[in-house]
Amino acid sequence: MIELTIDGKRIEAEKGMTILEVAKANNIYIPHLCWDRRLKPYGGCRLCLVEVEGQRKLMAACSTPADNGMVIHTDTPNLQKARRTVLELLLVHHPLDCPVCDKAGECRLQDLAYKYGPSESRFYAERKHDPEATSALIERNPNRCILCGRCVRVCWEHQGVGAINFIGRGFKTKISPAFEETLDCEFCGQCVDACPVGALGAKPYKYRARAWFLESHDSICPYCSVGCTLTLDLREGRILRVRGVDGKGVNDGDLCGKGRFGFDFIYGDTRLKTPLVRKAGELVESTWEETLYYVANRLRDIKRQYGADSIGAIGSARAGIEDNYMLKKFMKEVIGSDNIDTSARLGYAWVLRALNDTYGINQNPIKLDSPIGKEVVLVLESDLTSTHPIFGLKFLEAKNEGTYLMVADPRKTKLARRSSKWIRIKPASGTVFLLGLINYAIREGAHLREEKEIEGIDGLIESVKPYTPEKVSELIGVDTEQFIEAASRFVNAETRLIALTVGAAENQKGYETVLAAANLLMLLGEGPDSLQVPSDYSNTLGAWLSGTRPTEGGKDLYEMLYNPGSLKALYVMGEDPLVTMPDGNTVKKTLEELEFLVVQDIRLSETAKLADVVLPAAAWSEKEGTFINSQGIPQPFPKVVSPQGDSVPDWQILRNLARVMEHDLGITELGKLREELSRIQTDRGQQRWRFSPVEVPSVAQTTTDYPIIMVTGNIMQHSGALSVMSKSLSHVLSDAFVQISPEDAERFGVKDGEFIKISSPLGEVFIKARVSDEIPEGMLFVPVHFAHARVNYLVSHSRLGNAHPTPVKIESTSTATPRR
Amino acid sequence: MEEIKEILKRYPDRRGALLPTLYIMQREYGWLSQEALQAAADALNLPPATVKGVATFYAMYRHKPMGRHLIQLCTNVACMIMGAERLVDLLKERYGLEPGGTTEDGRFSLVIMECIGACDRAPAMLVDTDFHADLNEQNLFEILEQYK
Repeated sequence: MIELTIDGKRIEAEKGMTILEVAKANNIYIPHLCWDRRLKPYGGCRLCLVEVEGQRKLMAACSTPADNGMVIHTDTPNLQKARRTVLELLLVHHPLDCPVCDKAGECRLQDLAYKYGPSESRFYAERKHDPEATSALIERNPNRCILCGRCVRVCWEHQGVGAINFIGRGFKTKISPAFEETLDCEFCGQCVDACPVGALGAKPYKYRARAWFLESHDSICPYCSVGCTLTLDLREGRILRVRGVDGKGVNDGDLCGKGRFGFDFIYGDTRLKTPLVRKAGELVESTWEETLYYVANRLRDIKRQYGADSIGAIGSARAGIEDNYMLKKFMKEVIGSDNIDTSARLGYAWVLRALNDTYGINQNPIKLDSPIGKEVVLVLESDLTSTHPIFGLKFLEAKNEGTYLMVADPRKTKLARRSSKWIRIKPASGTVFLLGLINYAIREGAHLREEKEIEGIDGLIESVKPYTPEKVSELIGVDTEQFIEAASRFVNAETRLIALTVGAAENQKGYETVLAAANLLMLLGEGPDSLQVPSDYSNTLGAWLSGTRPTEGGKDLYEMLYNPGSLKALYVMGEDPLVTMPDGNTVKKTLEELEFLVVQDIRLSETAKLADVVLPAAAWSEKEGTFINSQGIPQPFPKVVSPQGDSVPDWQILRNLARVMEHDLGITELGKLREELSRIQTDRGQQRWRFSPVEVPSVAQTTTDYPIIMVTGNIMQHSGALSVMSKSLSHVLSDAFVQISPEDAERFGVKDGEFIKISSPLGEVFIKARVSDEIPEGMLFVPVHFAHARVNYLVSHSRLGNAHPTPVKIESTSTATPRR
Repeated sequence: MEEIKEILKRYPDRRGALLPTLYIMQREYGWLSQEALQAAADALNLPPATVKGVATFYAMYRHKPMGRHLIQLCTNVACMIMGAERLVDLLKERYGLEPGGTTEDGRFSLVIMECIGACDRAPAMLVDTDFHADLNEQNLFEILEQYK
């Protein structure tokens, strides 16, 4: 600890803090424009100048370390004069177009000019008249730019992208992409929030409102399971933009593109506004009263005729815990059935099962900061910066602070590009890679280092015997030497972490992958904190914890969707199995064979198009609710806009339906519901370690007929099937595509941008090809978000929770016979 | 590529190797075209914007195609007093060469420099990587005629 004096106040501070940080921590205001908490000190704007006694010149508070005994003055006439001059110099070039600038009212430069006086500069130079540069979501106005560099630095240092930079020098400097091309980046929009003036703006917000008319509410992001706090800015009852605010929420001000621009899905064209009932084969608009009585009668009839066990329900990983809990309660108390599940069954349920089979725990909430400070971090076949962007940033931050970031992935993801070591393994060979690490650790005697005896060690040793470094390096397609080097670094590290995702949308990892990872970590004496597997969506974990799954032996998702005829009626709430779940053909068959299908959703989904009754639900922000994020934190979000049309919150629809069926669920308002939900347990339970060997890992097998492996997953700008409703996100990307390596494009005669036919034993689809070196030879990568692509029709499912990488065949549609 | 790998060994991170890599690209491509900058970015696994930003900051990179030989003539104070400006005029008269320009036959390009550290022997110039000093109206062309 050091002691210093700022403006006559004696202050204690940690050594190593800058003067600005000390001042901020003690609520002493020092003006600044270029400083950003997340970035290295830059000292560019010269506004944070302070006087330090004993120093002849003024010091920049943002880049001067605080020292013991320093006496600092932050607001003297001399400093005011200096700051006024700095502002005058900035105003030489900055146009005073505040009346038409969206930033006016929340502009840092405007505020400082107001505070320190100069409205115009005594100096004169020609102002810039560069044209505004537009792009899919971000507008750049180079004339307003003061070259503080926050956008450039946040993009490179913090996001690891580097899409823009200072181009040129001196008066001619401007911020631009490398070759003045249209900005084509991740569109995270972090630069927009970082810009202190109106040089960068969100396109959807352009000319929409003056800052002082906005009304702000904090909410929780509806996309992934990180659960970022969004600050929603509204005007006249409509959300106009979303900001991340420093210091707020688990994300501490950071946001990704989905969170920042994806909110407008609630204004999507496909929103449902009234209930629909199928009459003479057509879905026609109806009233709530008529519809609910119809649903009630049909459910009662089916229950009478076939029994309660013939009725099932699917909950939603995106609806609040209140909605999911109400569905469970409805099924249990009104229908009398335990047939209920969510999409978690296809992904996260297997993670929980694997953790239970090894560490003996019920759940394993992640910690966003877990990568920071670790010696080695292994990211396994997971594009974390796309699926869980803000969690992904922590891996970049850890790397910047000295962590050895090892990425094993066939895809050249952002983390792979920014890693310390990228091991380009074959698609879907992550499990084998882990088994190889276990084998290596045993050879090194790692299991003998721990005093604790763990049950099942002999079985584990036996099971990994075949996975020698030679064999594994052959299976994963890398040099033996390279594998051994990586294995040695991982096994011999002081501290380590494995991170991966297992989701319904991904087909290259599964139960066995998590099992292998947990076995490896236990062998090295690492607890479950070293294994970070986040849940998929905003409320995947919440739906699970609120009991939206069979708890008394009812049918699970596999039984309900992949066993045609096992149900007579299905109630689907906020899920689109036809698009998001594997083996679309079987799902479709199951749904078509039902006597009665109810779909309750915010839009007319693909599944809804098959339904007998479609009920319009209020969307996120049109109702209150709670999501439980992947850290296990329940986070309530408020209602800020009115529901579209006649839509009603999910839980209220179920309450009303129960009433029509003459059942009182004992819940009339949200408070009562939340009271019952407060009993949810989020702790992980007592650990009891035991090894649980992976019997036979699934290996992607190609055949002569199906010579290439198709991997599915999420991409940066989309999330599941929800984000495609967002106009903004669709501006960036709205068309399905498949990535193919240049080698395979050559081999199969595929041209960039043409439609290709992809077939697997389960079916065939036509998708536009994008030739990209992001993926290796022998692999295709297809995003799952686009309903019209029907990629899920090609992918098989596995009741054992194993990975199911899909061998496919591709044919160019422009050349009749592909070259072999 | 081998040369770049060699350079990379000398720096703690990839960004450090950017300046020498740009020189290599400039040598290989003649000037820092978009292609050359992209090649530097790929070689160092850096974003093209970072590469372009650095390249445009420094005055000694060529941002447009140059002639076979680059004349870098100093006109700073010492050289100016010793007659450098007259030499600039002569180059224009003899070869039609403007500062910042290239001769029509692509033989010479001229860049005016701000001091090349040879004030004691002013006026001075660099032709490609060769240093020539104590220039005057006669020896200027004797020297330049050696470059075809």
